[in-house]
Amino acid sequence: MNAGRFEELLERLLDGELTPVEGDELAAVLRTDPARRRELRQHLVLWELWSQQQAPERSAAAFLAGWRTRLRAERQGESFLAGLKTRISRDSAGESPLRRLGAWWAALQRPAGLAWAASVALVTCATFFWLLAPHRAQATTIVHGEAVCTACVLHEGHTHTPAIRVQTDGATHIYYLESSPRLTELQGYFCSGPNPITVEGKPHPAGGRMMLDVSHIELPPPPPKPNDDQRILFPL
Amino acid sequence: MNTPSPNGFDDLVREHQAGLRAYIRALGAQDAWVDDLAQEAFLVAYRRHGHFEAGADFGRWLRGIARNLVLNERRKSARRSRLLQESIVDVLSDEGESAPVAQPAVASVLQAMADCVSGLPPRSRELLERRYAESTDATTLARSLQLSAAAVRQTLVRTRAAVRRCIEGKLGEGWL
Repeated sequence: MNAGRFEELLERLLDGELTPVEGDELAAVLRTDPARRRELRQHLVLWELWSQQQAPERSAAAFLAGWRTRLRAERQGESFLAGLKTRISRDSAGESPLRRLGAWWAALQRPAGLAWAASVALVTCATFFWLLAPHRAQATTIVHGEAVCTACVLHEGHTHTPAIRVQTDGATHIYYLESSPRLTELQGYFCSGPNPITVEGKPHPAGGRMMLDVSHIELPPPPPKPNDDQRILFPL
Repeated sequence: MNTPSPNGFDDLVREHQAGLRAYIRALGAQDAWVDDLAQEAFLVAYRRHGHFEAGADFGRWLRGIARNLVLNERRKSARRSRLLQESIVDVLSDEGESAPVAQPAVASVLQAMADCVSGLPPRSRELLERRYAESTDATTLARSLQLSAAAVRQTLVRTRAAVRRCIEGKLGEGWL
């Protein structure tokens, strides 16, 4: 393989555009050429480090915040499971397996039991298909910035989409938020922006834009209402 | 060793995250999934902190965990995998253990990189910054800069190669 072809394949790999056939072609060269193997590894490391420096959603602080969120979620899940196990072992203590099976069968004969079994089957199927589907977002991250609307504040068009503007080192980054009922409720806050906001979510590029699947929103507390004695009275 | 408080573990995450993410990418993770795998490695390290021998190299232990995660990932079907194409990952992960990204190297690589990028022509620098700051692909970049996608790709090829050569000049061939 000549140098030009190697560079072409390398670039396509770095940009995530390598086809399976090209991948096999590149792998065949890498297997036999340690210098090109090293070159690929160097590029992967360099541009990964560069991306961490450039993209705010990949900063060290965002990574740490994402890790803490996952740790918190994991711990909550563990304590829920521990509580459930305690309840199950308490409820079923002293019961023989045969009797327990009989009780399950009797419960399934009742309409409520049947509905319950159907919902469990539905949830199991949904989980199975969700696990099979390719995941579309990367790790959770936390973004601090300004709540803005693409129409009212950014004037990008006539569609009102909530977004977050982050300014770092003179560069401006816009995260477009995936729609949700909670965000619809807050549209006024985005339209009256720029207002401070912190969101937690999973970023993913789509159509040339950086989208954010929001899982948590944090707004600053509203300013306190003035007391009666602090109110400014206007003469009639 | 007792399980550390999440706050106590924060310092370790802060210290090792950049190098670990670079290591995971070099093992063949897709760029969009690097952070996910790295966070998973830190979660495993947090849970299994008791297995870590005091005084040993924490970074090395962490990279071992990450490598196992990548090897487990390799066994999944291609559709669900967070890695690059299997044939590429096979080559990269076979060598991964013998050529880790040493933690102290991260700071010097970043410094060399900043120097090398600042020496680029303004247009190339802008292209590189926008490509990574906005996670934009060459086609979108080309549209916004009113250039052809081929021209943007060509500039990126030359710029990346120039930066790599510049870093090799500063740190020596064996920096990785």
